[in-house]
Amino acid sequence: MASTYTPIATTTLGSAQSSYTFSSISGSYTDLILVFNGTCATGTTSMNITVNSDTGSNYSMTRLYGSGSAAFSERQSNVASMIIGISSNSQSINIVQFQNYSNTTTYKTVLSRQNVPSDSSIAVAAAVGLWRSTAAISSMTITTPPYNLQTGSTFTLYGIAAA
Amino acid sequence: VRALGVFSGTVGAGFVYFNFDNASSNYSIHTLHGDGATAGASAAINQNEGKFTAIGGTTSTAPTAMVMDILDYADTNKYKTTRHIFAWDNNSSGYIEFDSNLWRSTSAITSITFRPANSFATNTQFALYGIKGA
Repeated sequence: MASTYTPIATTTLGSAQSSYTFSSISGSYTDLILVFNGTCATGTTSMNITVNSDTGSNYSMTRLYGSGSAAFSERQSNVASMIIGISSNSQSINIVQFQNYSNTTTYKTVLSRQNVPSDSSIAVAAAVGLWRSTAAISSMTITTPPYNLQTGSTFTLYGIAAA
Repeated sequence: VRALGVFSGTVGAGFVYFNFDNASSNYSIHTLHGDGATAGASAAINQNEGKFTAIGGTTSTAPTAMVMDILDYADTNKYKTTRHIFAWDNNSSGYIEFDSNLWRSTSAITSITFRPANSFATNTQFALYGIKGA
């Protein structure tokens, strides 16, 4: 039986570091799914992604966010990374889907689901990100600025192949 | 279902229906949405079709992405519930929405139709996956 999610790479950080990069991503899938389950050093901050080492102002984001007591929506334009997740010093889970990531015709739209389920800092959110490039995505770098990613944080990248 | 939509003309709402049932007021819809400034929620009952998108990306520079789960699609003892997220961003503005659709039928789903307000454009992409129980 064919598998839907094909694991491409998984890493659990053995030490704190400022970023993590998946590189040399094959273009043989239809979609990519990134799963981040981890922590950053302090407080609650965003989880950001840049692709293909592009740190120009080529990203934008729209987010829908619930704090446990209210709902919000926010967005950013012309930013230097896709602010597509949440990170916290307790725990956060972010699942990010890159659709048609290897096509060279359209800009890249990304969907994510995010949550921080701690007792003190509850957040649940969903976001859409745009990378204004028609280039195929071959690498992605995850950061949680200004804090380091912490030991034990896990990154998994899956590929989904078309039928 | 996973879709990456590029639309022609004014996007407007997009609809989904099952087994060609699109005239019997058998659908209800609940939404939670955000446009980058405000969040809101809405509902509609006794609709002829479910919903799969709203205002959206109109060109290849702002495609609308959607992922829909259709649970227990073949169960003949339950009405069918879907949940999905769709969203787009064009750098100047953006929109994101969580929806659920209820189709009040116990029939197994054997067909799914997506109907945009106008038409899908070149490079629109759909994929349908099945998930098996253990």
